[in-house]
Amino acid sequence: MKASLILMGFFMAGVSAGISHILPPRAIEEMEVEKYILFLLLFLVGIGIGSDTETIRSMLKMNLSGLLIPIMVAIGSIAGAGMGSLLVKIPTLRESMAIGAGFGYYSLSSILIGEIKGGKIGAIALLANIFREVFTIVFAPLLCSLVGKIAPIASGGATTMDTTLPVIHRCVGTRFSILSVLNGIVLTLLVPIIIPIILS
Amino acid sequence: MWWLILFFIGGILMGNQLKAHSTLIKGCSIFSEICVYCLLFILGYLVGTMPNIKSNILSLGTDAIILSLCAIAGSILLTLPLERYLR
Repeated sequence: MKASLILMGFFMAGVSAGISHILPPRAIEEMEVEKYILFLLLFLVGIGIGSDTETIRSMLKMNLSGLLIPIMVAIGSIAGAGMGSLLVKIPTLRESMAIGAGFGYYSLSSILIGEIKGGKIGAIALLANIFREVFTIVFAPLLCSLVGKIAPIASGGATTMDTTLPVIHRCVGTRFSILSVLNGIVLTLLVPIIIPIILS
Repeated sequence: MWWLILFFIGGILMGNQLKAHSTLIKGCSIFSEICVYCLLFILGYLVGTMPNIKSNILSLGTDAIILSLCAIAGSILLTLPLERYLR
């Protein structure tokens, strides 16, 4: 939760700087500095994943049943957000599907979507994916008792390997916690691949 | 746009080669966090410079909550049949 607040703080500081015109007008847009930082970020995220032998080993060991959950979560999340585009004012079908493909990985997904589709859609992606994480932390026990043990894992999306894991572990037990970590790993890997494909 | 995916895959391959250099990997992790902070600041700045942003902020938030709930509902619905299969 602390990490989410820090990230939100940087976003809000940017909004304040934009509203109060502290920086010269159109300074950032003209330099296109964010494009180069984004390339660097994706490269660094890739280095982090590639150097993590445990992650790669668990991916290779994963059998079909382990893969079924993240595949269904990914399809359901993208399709659900796509249907949600009928209820919202701003994002189009593709933009809504891309927001759904953030799977709760708000930092990277909002930056990717913001770079491709502009600040307004990026801001919606940031808020939507932060809300997904907070919703899972608050409602995981309720989802577990009302729907079943996979429901909080489905709700958490990519966050089920880190931030929402403690609360999920408490209500689903060790066996499903392993599936939760695998779900998070696969969805985290999919975010930087699926979003550009949906928006291309 | 495909450059984004290529940079990501290039990073994975590079990371696999560098896995023995733990200090370098740790440095990359810290640097990537700094990149995220910078990019979120820039994203916020771009939102802040939009005309009529103050009056639109409520609408952005409502859209975000609706899309998030739809994505969560879609994920839960599609994984429902797995509840029995993985029991």
